Amino acid sequence: MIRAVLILGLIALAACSRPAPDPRSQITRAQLETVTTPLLLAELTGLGTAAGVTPVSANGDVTTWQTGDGVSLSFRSGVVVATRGLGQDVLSADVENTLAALRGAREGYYTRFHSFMDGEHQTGFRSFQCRVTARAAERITIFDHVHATTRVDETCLSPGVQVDNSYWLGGGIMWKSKQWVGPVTGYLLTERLVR
Amino acid sequence: MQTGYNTFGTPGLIDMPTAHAMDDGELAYTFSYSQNTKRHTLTFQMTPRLTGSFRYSLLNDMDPGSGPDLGTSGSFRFDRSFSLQYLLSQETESWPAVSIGLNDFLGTGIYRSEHLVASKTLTPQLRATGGIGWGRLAGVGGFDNPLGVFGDRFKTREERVANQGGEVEASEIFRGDAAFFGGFEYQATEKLKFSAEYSSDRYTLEDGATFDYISPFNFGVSYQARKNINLKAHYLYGSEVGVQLTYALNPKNPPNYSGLEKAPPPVVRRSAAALGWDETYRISAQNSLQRRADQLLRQYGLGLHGLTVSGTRARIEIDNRSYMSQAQAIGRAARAMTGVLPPQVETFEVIPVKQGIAGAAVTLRRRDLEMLEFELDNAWDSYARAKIDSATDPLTPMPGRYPYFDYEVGPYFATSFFDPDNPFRADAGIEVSARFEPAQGVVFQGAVRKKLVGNLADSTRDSTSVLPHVRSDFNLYEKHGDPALTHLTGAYYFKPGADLYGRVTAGYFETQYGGVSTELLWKPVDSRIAAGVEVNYVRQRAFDQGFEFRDYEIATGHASVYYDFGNGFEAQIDAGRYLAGDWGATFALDRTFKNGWSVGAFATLTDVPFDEFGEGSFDKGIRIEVPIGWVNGQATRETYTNVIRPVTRDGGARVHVNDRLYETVRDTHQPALADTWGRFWR
Repeated sequence: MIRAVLILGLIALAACSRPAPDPRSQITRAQLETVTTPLLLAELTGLGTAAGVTPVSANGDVTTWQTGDGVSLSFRSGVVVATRGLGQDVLSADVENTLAALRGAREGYYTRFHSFMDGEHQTGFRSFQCRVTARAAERITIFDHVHATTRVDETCLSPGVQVDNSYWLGGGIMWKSKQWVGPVTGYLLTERLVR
Repeated sequence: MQTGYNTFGTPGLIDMPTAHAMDDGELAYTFSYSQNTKRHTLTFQMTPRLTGSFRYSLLNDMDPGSGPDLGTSGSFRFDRSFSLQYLLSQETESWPAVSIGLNDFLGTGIYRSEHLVASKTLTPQLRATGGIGWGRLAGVGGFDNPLGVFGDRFKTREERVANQGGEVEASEIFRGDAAFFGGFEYQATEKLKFSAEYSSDRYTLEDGATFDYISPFNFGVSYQARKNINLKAHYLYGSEVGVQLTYALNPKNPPNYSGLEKAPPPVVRRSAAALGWDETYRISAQNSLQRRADQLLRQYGLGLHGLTVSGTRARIEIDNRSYMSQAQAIGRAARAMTGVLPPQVETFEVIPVKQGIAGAAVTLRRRDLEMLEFELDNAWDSYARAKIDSATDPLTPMPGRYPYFDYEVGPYFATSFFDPDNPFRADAGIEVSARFEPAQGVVFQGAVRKKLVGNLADSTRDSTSVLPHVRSDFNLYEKHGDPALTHLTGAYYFKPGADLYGRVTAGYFETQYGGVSTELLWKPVDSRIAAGVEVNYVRQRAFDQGFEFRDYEIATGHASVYYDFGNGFEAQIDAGRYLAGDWGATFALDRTFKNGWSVGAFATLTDVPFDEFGEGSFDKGIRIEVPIGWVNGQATRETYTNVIRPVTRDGGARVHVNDRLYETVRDTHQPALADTWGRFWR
């Protein structure tokens, strides 16, 4: 636990200084070996920030992970369903069909819904038409560890927005992903550093 | 194509108006400069169709004989004016946008004009505008008023008789000659726009002295430097170059979207304990339930006022010291309580407490919190399942909640607008404030300020008011009050009956008055309407703002009605006796945004005759409230409030008392809870 906090601090520092150095250069496999709690590296392409996140709570099949400075990311089986503290957050999301598609239980087009907060703090909804565009076995390396995964690419369309999400799943774990959060926030990139 | 602002700060080409309205809610400050002419304008898109502007102009070398002898020193004039424009029809495929406008209908009349204008976007890059103007806008190529067909009275426009300003002179509107004006705008790139116009303003009062008028044609270029900043340069009337800056923002576009405050407390399911998630909140089990609940709430910017558990029901009284939205505070408190309350508790009754009095009681089912945390439409679902009614049982403060003491040391910033010698003055310094609550409902608070830099004290315009100097000596307070005790009061808040709220405050209310103030408010929890009465006996404070008083004392008070229209507008009417002993009423209308912004206007009419009141004829102004959290994205209840009066005089003046009842209960009741419920899960 203490090691995880140290690494969190390290990554948070890396995220604060500008220009942000690549947090990857601060992490080594040897360090990760000493961490006993689950750890995720999360980056946001639009904000140009990165941080380590650890799980803080679970509600049903949704697990919420949090950074040291209080930003939270909630995932349902590895797919983002809520963020808090990013500014332009995902308030909530209905990703049932995406989860089915990841399991291979869904063909063709399907829907996906996100909610967000508008400028007057009212709930707004964005609906997507999505489709799986590629599915292939892929071996990925995360800090010297090789994981056998299935890569699934998902393309979602909403008026004015095209979203290209990718998921790397192996052994029931989302090892790596690229998931759209918002127009300004950009994509969330995750890598599972510690199981 | 983006609609721009003209030199008068209203939607327009270069000097002439255009018909399109700005985005609803847009607030813009425009500074325009050309030879001997400076104009500062604040323009607000009050509704999707109605645009309102307040303008402050500094004019050198005007014709000394031009108009009434007000604000004139030699050939220098300062002039305040209001403008309104209303969009009659939106632009369609085949029909132009059409607007009607009134300029300077309240002021002393230098910029008095009316217009009817049409604009059509011909191609995505080209927009044409044409219109007909009256008054000042009928200066070039004037012809007989076409409205003359409705009667001869439209054919002549009388010169405005010298007055104090402030009076609507409806008898002149759309009278006299009319003239055409028009122009084109060409959007060359996303940021660059060129304009050319034919102006019907002859600048008769300025020609020869202020600048030389040669031609009615103006040419301009506009550059959108940033999202909020527009820069313009123009060649005016064949002889002058002008420059202009506009800063525009929209309260509907918070720079940090839903905010940057920390993630909310997670819901802890009762079934989760078995899975090892019972350590979500690492709160020592050693302490009492109340202590643990308080510790947890403190981690999230809240405090526990009281907690009682009886059977399956918990009553959670919270102190919200962080969040603008009480719904957000309630949502966070309820989620945090899932981490400490025993599993048999099924119903949470959350009550926000302010000044020791209970707001609405919001009843939530614990099961709903558990089920809805990650549901798509959880904001609406949780609102639909919540019960919001009045808190009937007395509050039960937890041991240790009282006495409460808090203090703060921080910077302050004070401003003064529209002193003719310097239209913007400001002071900055340090303020120490403290608050002490010995028991529920009893609040002592005070603040001391020490100026570090500033020029508020430089004002040399001594009051010439013929009324008792109840406000017009403000510059003497600024001159002598350093350091100043800005307020020091003791107050008692109580609920004398159902839907009734009471307040008694004594002490130094504000920089200029002290005394005793009593207030009674009626406000049912689910009501859009509220009513109250306030009776005060006040005495004027010494200029040095120490503990001494001056000789002037008076009984003053008002009956008030507050109404929330539910469409973003709120109204308030106060009728009663004002500080100078005058009787009358104040009318206020505010456009309120659900994120806490408000922009409004007020006017007070009393039995003081206009010529006795002096310049401006009656008290009026604009007020703007900006939540600090909107600016920086942090969780804070602080707001920046500014009241802009064209002139501060003695008629229609009221005493300021901190934490009046309506502002105390408003955000803990409906409709405010519903309006901000979107933040419940934030």
